Amino acid sequence: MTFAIETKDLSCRVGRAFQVSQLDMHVPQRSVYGFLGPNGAGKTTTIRLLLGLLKPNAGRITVLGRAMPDEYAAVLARTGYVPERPHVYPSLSIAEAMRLHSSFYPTWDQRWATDLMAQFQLDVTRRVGALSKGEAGKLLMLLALAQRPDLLVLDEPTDGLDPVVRRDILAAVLQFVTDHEATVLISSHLVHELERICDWIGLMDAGKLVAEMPMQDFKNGIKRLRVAAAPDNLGTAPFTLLSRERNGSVEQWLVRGWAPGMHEYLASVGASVREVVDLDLEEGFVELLRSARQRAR
Amino acid sequence: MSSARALALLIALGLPQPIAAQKIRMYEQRLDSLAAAQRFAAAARQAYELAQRRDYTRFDSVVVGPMRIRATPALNSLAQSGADSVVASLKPQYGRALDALVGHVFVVRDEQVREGDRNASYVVIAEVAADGRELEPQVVVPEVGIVRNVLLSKTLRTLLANTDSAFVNWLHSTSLPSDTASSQAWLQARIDLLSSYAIVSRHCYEGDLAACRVALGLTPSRDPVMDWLSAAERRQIVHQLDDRYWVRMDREAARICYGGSDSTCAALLHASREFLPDPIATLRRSELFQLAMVSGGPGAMERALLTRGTPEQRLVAAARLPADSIVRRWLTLVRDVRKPSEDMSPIVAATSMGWILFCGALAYRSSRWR
Amino acid sequence: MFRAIAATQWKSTRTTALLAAVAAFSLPIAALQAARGVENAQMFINIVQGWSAGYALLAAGAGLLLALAAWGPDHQGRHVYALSLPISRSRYAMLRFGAGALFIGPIALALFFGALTVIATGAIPQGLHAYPFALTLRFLFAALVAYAIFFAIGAATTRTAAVILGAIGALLFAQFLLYTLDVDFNLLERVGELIFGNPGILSVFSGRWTLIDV
Repeated sequence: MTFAIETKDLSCRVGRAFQVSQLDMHVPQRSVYGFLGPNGAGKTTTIRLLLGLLKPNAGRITVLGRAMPDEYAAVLARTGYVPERPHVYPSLSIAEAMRLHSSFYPTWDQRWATDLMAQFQLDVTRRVGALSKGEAGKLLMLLALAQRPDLLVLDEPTDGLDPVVRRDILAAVLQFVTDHEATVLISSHLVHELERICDWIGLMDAGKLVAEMPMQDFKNGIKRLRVAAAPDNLGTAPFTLLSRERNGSVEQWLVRGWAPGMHEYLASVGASVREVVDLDLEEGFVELLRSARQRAR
Repeated sequence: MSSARALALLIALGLPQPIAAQKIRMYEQRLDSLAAAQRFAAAARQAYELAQRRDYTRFDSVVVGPMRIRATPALNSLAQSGADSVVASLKPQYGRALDALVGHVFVVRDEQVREGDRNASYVVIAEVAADGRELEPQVVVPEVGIVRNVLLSKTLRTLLANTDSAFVNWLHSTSLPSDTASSQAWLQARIDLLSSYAIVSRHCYEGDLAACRVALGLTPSRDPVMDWLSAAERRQIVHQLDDRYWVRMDREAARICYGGSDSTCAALLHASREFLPDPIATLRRSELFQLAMVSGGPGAMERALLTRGTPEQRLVAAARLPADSIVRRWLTLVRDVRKPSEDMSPIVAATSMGWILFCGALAYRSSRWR
Repeated sequence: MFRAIAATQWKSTRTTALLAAVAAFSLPIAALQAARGVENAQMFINIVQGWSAGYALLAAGAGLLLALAAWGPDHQGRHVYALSLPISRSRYAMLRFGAGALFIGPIALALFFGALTVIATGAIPQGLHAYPFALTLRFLFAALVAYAIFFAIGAATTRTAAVILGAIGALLFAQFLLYTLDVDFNLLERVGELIFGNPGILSVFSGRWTLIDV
């Protein structure tokens, strides 16, 4: 499998308290990679490192086959970026912002930009600084998409937006993914949003990548089990035990990679499964985080 | 009338209100005592200077051509190099006129001056009078160039003093020129002419050679009030003098003058003739001789000093040209010389470009961008 | 690319540039007006030269404001947009520099036309001359020097700006110490000579600025 984005032992200290630590990230090419994590987990910092806006203290970053931040100009020429906060100059009108932006990208598609303009119902004469949050979000998405990038990096693109706008933006992203063989990295703390569009998921917490897997595995593979009489040593289990809580005689387990036939294995070690609970994405996300934090302690 | 009484009367006339006779006597007595104090001070100063006469017999003698200097042994080489330089620079122009220095002796000696908690060494340069007093001593730092310049200045002053008083008064300068004039001098002369309070200077600038001769003092003016000034200028100057407290104007006459009577204005100015400055700075006269150095070649100043006669005759001898030709050349230079603007020069441009590129490079290399 | 940057920079610069151009055009005329009717050549020159500071201040002010306008939008957005563009950062800085420097030209041109207007009035006294080219050129260089200095400061990080301010503060403190300790050494004067004397960085601002001279 080739990766559009790959990091190895990536570390960066930001200020005194916070750091991204030994991050190994793999974003497969032509995937829609959901970058999940609570607020302050380090998602934006990681994205800035990937795009060369920050310099790492250690580790290696490869984006679209090129080393970052050394080859940032070549990478950014093929990357559409929608930051967390609008970064386009507020004194410009939408038309001026488009003219400025298009001058830097030879791949700019004016026709598509016009179509997106109509789709997003943006008025070119309006000043960027006077746009509402939703309109600004649409504009940033338009600028990123109209570049025809090979990599689209979206940092919380729908944060704070109303459902209609969110739907419009995500629809545009999906349309783009459908029409082009591009890779999308989208960060969010809105799990349900990512569930609909992502095929890979990376979960970040406190500067570390806690989990990284295909979305299917994430959705289907994480279960909460109530297990009785389980031995301390489970031997070579066919699933991944994420966490284990003792609550009297019955233990509560969080497992990944659970398949229906695995009851027999537990029976073989003298344990019995009382209950298997399917977790939805959000619950799975929360449980994964909790188990990661417990392991860290 | 004693000078004290005259002065007392003058003060009394200057006061705004009439004064009683007994007060005039009181002022008279006060002025008498002030004059006596001044005489005592002058005598005391002379006595002090006489007491300060040094024994120069233990000084080294430095003789360079006609120039004689007494120098302290430690300053012998300084005095020697100064004298060498002065004589070498003046010889081409002044030639035999330098022989007038033979009867004069200069001194170059050291002097310790207390500065804070230490003594600083300085050099005193002066001409030594016959009675041993040092005339107009100058205290300078012991640097070759400075000592040379002071010796040069004193030499030229001595040479001038050796000519006749008519020439000295006409030149109105403390010394003779040592070199030709720079273009800055002609520019300043132009400003002088155009800024003069007297119409004769402006006529000169417009090309009237006779006016130039009057402005430069080559043609003595029998009636400066009428020769130098226009009617409007006469009225204006009466007004200016009237404002000055030390000039006591006849108020009624002044009123008539302001009313348009030019003859009254002229009469008032005739009475205050001593307050009328020359139409242009007398420095310009020295520049005529600097011009003469150019046209007359080597020995110009020698001919000027050794010629007996009026300043014009000395000038003609120096320049080997008629006076009108010299004045015409002077005027041409004054009117035509141009200088490059002080606003801009290649150095300013190059320096500015250098700094612009430097700052550009700083922005280029800013750590924000790396 | 340059045209696009210049167009966006013009938007944040145009008011300043226009006002500066009006001031530049008016300065020589105002100087002449102040000296109008004065026939004494020296006095005329002195009055006109009294407006020297105006040229220097205008050049410095125009340079400063244009440099601020060059970086203003980027500072507002913490340089995120600029840093996310697919050109080398140094090239971006040079594009910004060039765009801002471009707008100094019209201001200098306005000064030149103001100077020509003065000459056309025929009010310059006999014997004096006007130097419109020299004055305009000097103004241009002075404004560019001021622009370059403040552009470099604007391009630097906050830490660099703090270092510069700290250096100035240290200089003032050192002078104060010297004064308190009764040391006869004027540090500020020496530094001033270095900066304003030839070939100091601000030497183009010092000396006479005069349109009309002998």
